[in-house]
Amino acid sequence: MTIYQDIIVDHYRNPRNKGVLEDATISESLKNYSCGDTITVYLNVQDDTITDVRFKGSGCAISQAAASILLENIKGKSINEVKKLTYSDIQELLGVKLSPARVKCAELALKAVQKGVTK
Amino acid sequence: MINPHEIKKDFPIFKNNPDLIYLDSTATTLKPQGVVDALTEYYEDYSASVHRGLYPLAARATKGYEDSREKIAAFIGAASAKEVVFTRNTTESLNVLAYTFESLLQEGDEIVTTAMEHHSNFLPWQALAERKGLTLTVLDVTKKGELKNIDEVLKQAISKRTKVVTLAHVSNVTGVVNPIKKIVSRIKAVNPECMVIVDGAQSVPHMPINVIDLGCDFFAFSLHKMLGPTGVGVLWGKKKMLEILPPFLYGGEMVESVTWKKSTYKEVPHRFEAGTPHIAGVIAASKATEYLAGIGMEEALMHEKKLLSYGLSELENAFGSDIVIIGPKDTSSRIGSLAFLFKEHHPHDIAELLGEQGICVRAGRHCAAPLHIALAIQASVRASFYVYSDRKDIDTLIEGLKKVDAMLSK
Repeated sequence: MTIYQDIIVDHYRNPRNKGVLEDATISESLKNYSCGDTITVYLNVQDDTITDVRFKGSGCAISQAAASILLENIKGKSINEVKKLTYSDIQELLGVKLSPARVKCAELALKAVQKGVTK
Repeated sequence: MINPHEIKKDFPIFKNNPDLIYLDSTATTLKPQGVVDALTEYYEDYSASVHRGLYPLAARATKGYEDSREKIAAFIGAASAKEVVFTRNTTESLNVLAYTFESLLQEGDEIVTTAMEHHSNFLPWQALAERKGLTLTVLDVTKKGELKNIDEVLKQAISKRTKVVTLAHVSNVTGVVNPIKKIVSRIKAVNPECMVIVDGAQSVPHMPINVIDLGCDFFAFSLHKMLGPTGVGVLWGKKKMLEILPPFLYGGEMVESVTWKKSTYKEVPHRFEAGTPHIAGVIAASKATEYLAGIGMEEALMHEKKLLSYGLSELENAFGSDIVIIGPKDTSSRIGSLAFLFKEHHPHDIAELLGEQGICVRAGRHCAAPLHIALAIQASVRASFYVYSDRKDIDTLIEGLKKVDAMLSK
């Protein structure tokens, strides 16, 4: 089975929420040194709820698709809910089991989001 | 002329994986049956320790181990088997040098290396320079990944303060071959005392090598990149150079006499081989060099160059300017490590999608970040060839790349 499932290819080709959020209350950048992937996430948090999301970045399809899928998913969620997310939630969203080398790509956006909301 | 279809029959991995398209020989090569058999034979028939045992099995193991040293010495044109030290791999060979040189260097001394080094010949020296307060000069490369203005740059970089110049014979990314003989003579003309170390990990497997003719003082390589088992490397050094180095690892097998106060050590090469070595691996390694000698290294080189030319032109025919080759397109100064970029597709996506089709290539920085930094590229895909590679491997790669493109194109 290919790891490049339709949902991954779709989000890679047509990323949702791509761009910069001018009025972001939180922004956080992370880099994956093994692939060279970079992700910056922008979150607008009002009363503990994520009301708007954007990301920009470059890198492999897995990292970019995972960012798009994750952000779509966390819009409307509370900070507490986002803090509790783990890689297994990402894996469920992506619908594939990745090799350890690619897990780093897939979890990059989640790590950036969690770092941002923990500050 | 090499017939890769016949050669493939000697490699059991192709029997077990009939559709395997293996294009990652720069990372490690596949193993012929003779090498696998030699490993098994040692473990099944005479798995005794070397140099110590007084019984026939141990004598056989010692003879196998030391015969292998002779054969590998002959394969690289060493003056004597005493100049061949067995290590785990090229990385260890180069680290042995960086650590043992430490006691010979003073603050302010200079080390010169290049931007086309594998990390194994870059990081040990960078760390040594930091520890000892040495100056590390990194020679830059052109956009094609070749050393820039060698003559002029060497004139500027080398002085009486330069104690070590360490450089790759062949780049593990671009396949660029450095003119070592010329470089050594330029260095020695300015400073005859300067040690010249050559990382031969990507040259010995692919071309005839004569270390005496190259003129360098030390030369390092790995047997697993030339059909041998993993875990066996060589540090070759001119005998008088090896002799001035202190031991690196202390322990069994390397010592001559021990007292409570002071000990003395064996002569080279055994001084550098503390502990039980990879006996089976060393014995099997000479089966690998025998296999290569049977093919002929000139033949092996010609085969690889032909495949490289074919690969370069087929990639261009199929994809035109969508493929960017990292390295020179002229095959006269390079060998068959073919690194490239393909459209905007990320190298890791390309390699993973090719892998899903049974095509093995490498993606990333290939442990050569300094080169990728110099060329201002994030990462690349690398397809590399060896004696068992054939045109079908390249044709399948191209078909595979077309599928990758269809999958990822936006």
